[in-house]
Amino acid sequence: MYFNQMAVFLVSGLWHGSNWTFVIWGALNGFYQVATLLTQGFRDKIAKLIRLPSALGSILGAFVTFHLVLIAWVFFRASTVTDAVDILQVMVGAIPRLPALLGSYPFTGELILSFVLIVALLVIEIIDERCPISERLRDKPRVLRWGYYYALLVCLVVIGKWGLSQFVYMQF
Amino acid sequence: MSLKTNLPTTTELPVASPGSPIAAEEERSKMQRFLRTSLRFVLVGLVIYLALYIISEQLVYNYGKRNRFFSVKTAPLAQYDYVILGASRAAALGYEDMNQRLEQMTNSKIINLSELGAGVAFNRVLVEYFLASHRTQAVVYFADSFAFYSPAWNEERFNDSKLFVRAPFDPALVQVLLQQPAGRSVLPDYLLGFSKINNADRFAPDINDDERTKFGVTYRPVAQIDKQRLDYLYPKQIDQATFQRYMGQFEEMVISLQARNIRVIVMKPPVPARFYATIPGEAAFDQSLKAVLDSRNVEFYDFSQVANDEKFFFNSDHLNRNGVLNFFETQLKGVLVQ
Repeated sequence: MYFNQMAVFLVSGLWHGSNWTFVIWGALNGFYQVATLLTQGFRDKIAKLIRLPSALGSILGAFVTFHLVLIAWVFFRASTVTDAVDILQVMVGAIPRLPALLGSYPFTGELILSFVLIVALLVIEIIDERCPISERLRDKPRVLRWGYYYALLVCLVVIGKWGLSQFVYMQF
Repeated sequence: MSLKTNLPTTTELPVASPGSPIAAEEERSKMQRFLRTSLRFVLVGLVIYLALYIISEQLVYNYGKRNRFFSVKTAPLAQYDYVILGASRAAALGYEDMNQRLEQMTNSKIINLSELGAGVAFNRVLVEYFLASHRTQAVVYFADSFAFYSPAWNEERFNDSKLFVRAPFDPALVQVLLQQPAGRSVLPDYLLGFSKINNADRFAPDINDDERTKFGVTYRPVAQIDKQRLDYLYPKQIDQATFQRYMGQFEEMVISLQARNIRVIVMKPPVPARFYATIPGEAAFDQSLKAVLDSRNVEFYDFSQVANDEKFFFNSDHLNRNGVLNFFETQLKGVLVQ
C-alpha cells in the first residue's frame, strides 16, 4: 500500500512537467502520506500518554500539515531544485530573525483587511458546514436575504482581484 | 371512519391541469412576480453601485496627487506657459517639488503631464484633455525613441487601468477619449468607474515607487540591470511600419498644436553615456525625428549626451533629484526663459 501511495504521488508530480522540481514535489507529498499512515498508532499513543486534548491535536495537525505542504510548494514553484534549496535555506536562516522581521514589517491596511477576510471566510465556512447558508436564508425576510447577496457583490466589486496574475496552479 | 380519512390529502386537492387556462394564468403570474422581483433586485443593486461610485469619486479627490488626468482636472490655472509631455524620463522632472522649483527658476507656470511608459498616443490624449479646459503658450515634448517602436507604449498603454483609477469623472475627458481612437477602449471602464471602485490603493496618495523611494539615491551601474531595462523598453527588431505610424501620429500632434498657435519644443532627455551607447537604432531615430521637426519648424534640443554624469541617475536612465536640479540649472532653464 505504501509503495502504491508513493508511486501515485510520484506519477502525479511527473504529470505536471518533466522537471525534477515536480518529481520532488510529488515525492514529498507521497512521503507525507506514507509517514502519516506509518506513524498513526505511535502518534495516537503519544497523544494519549500526554493527554493531549483532541481540539489541540487537530490544531497542531493542521499547523504541521500546512507548513509541510508549503515546503512542497516551494519545489513546485521554483524553476530548479537549486533555486528551491536556496529559497528554503533563506527561509530557515530567517527563522531566528522572525520577531525582528515581524516588528519591522509594514502592516498596511490592505494586509490587515486580508487577515480579517481570511477569518471571515473561515467563520462562514464553519457556519456553512453546520447548515448551508442558502438553507438558513431560505425562510428569512427578504431584507436579510438580499442584504447578504448585496454584501457579497459589494465585496467582489470593491475588494475583488480582477485581471491579475493567475494562481501558480492555474497553468495546469 | 376517522376524521383523518374523510379529509382530502394534499395530493387530492383540485389542481389546475397542465395546459388549462388556470394553469397558464398561474404560470404567467409566477413569471411576472419573478420578473418584478428581479427588476427590483437589479435596481437596488444599481443604487448601491452608484453610491460606491460617488464614494470612490470622492476618494479620488481626497487622495489623488500625481495622476495626470487628476492634475488636469484640478489644475488651478486656466493659462499655463509650458506643458511638459513625455514618458518616465520627463515625469522625473515633476517628482517631489521639482516642478515648483522649475517654475521659480523660469518665472513661468508649468504643468508636467508626462506619464510612465507613455508614447505619442497617450501623450496626445493628455494634451487634448488639457486643452479642452486650459491654455498654454508652449508644449515641451521629451522624445524617447522606445515610445515610437511599440503599441505597448501607445494603444496598449490604455489597457492599464491604473492610469485611470484616479481620473475624476469629466465629460471633457469622455469627449477626448471618444475622439482619439486609442482612447475608446478605456471608455467603458472609465464611465462605469469599475477600476476606481476596485482600486486597492484607494486610501493612499498615488505617488509611484520611483518618486517615493528612489528619487534621492544614486544608481550604481549593473550591466545585467541595464540590459533588462533595455530589453524591456526596446523591441528586438524595430518594425519600421510601426515606427512610421507613431512618427506620423507625432507629426499630427505637432500640426494640431501649431494650428492652435502653441509653440512646440522637442527635447531628448539626458541618459548616461553608458546606457545611450546600447540603445538600438538611435541614430536612425534622430534622423527621422529631425526630418519631421525641420519640416514643421519645431525647435529641437538634444540633451541626451549632456548633464548625464553617472551620479545624476537613480536607476539606469532616470535623473535623480540632483540630476534634475542640475539639468534645470544648466540646460532647461536656458531654453524656457527665452
